[in-house]
Amino acid sequence: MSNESVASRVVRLVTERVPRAEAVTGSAVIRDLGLDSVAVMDLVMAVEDEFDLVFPLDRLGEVETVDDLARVVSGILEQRTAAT
Amino acid sequence: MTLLQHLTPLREALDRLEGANPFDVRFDAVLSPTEGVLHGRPVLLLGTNNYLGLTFDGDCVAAASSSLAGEGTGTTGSRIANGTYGGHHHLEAKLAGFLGRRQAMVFSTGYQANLGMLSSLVGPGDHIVIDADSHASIYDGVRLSPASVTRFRHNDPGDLARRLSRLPSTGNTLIVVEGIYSMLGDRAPLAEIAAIKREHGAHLLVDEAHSLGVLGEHGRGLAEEAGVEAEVDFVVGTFSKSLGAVGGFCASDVDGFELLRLACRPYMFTASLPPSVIASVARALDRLTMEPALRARLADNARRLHAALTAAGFELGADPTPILSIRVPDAGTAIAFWNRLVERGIYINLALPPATPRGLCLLRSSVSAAHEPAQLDAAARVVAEVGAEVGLLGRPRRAVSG
Ligand SMILES: Cc1ncc(COP(=O)(O)O)c(C=O)c1O
Repeated sequence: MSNESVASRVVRLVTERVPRAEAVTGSAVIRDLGLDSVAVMDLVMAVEDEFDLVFPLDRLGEVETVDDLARVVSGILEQRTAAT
Repeated sequence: MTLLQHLTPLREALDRLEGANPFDVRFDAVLSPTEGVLHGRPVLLLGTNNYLGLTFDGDCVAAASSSLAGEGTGTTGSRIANGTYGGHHHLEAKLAGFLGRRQAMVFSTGYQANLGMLSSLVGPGDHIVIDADSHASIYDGVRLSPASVTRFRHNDPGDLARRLSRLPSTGNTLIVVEGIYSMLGDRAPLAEIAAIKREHGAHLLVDEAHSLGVLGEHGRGLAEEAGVEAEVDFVVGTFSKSLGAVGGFCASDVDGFELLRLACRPYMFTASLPPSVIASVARALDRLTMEPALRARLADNARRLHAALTAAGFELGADPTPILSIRVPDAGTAIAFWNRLVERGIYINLALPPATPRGLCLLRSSVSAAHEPAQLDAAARVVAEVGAEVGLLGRPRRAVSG
């Protein structure tokens, strides 16, 4: 497990998928970065692999910015820690 | 805010299209399963999903006409009100018998069959895991489900297994795959998926929309071909492709299946199929079962066109199935290719992202048992010539037929 924060790992995953070369910030709106609906779902798969978790698709409803995505991931991770 | 403003990107994409709008095709006439008239020109139909070529079958037409005269134009009601006639009931029994299942439910379209099953098969706290390249009806269906939904990488059993093992141990799990994928024409690796399903104690739904009547010794689909029917808990399919009409179904051995009739909203809150459609589908199912030669001819035709297009130098989506898709590097070339083919008398499908997986631009053809080998050979020659014209084939080569 890397020491990189959840937020920066999410930023890295988004950056890898942005079609235009541009710096991705936490406050960036994911759709404005040029990711269509399929690309966003593919991003979710990459997030699941990066953090070894399940990210149900309906939770995308909570995600507009990169920070929102990181927040949902952190929430799922915390829930899992609490459950074990 | 103007209404429909959210559709501006779509408007802009449409405005960029040159030539005829490939998504606004109006046939002047459709004359047979393989011939039509488009923009005043005769065209070969090479993109209609009419796999067994039964749309003009004399028996099917006669059965539909007789029902139309005898039972009227429509049921004007839901399956659970006034919309179930003897024919609906009979067709469900027939489908169940054909597929070797205890029960079947008939829906008004295949789209609604997926919507219905996926929205009501599993409940809160359960899980659905779908292939990433699933059809829109599967995506829309799972959105109506209270279960949690995740995707696995297309046709990747290892990825499916990894994602299943991440799920909590509570709740039921439903895996959803297709027999033949509609865009690239590739089969699901069903034997491996079935083994993983068993190992994880999950349930499996297979949408055989493009494989029913196409694959398997008896035409029961990919599950039959792969020898894993016993592992498939739910078979979904459509009447709009190999059976040449419209409608959808689900067949299963699961206990309590009948309850779905009172839980499945896309089954309950829509009118049932007209009796004439039910009559033609029942006859088409007879043709499918009693004439394996149709399936053999379809497979021969698929191999023939696949070989000709591959020899011409095209990059196809998958091994031969009746869906043969040519990969085109960009949308502009794909649109030019498509328009030119229509001018040259060939109708095939243009498929662009986001309706395609992984941003692919495709010229999608679907072969029918009704195609004559000579029609396919001629089509392959024209496709190769146009492919060279639009710069897709490096050096124009002479198409090899058959
Ligand atoms: C995989 C798949 N499932 C379901 C459907 C829906 O079928 P129908 O035309 O009966 O609504 C289709 C057809 O478009 C399909 O390709």
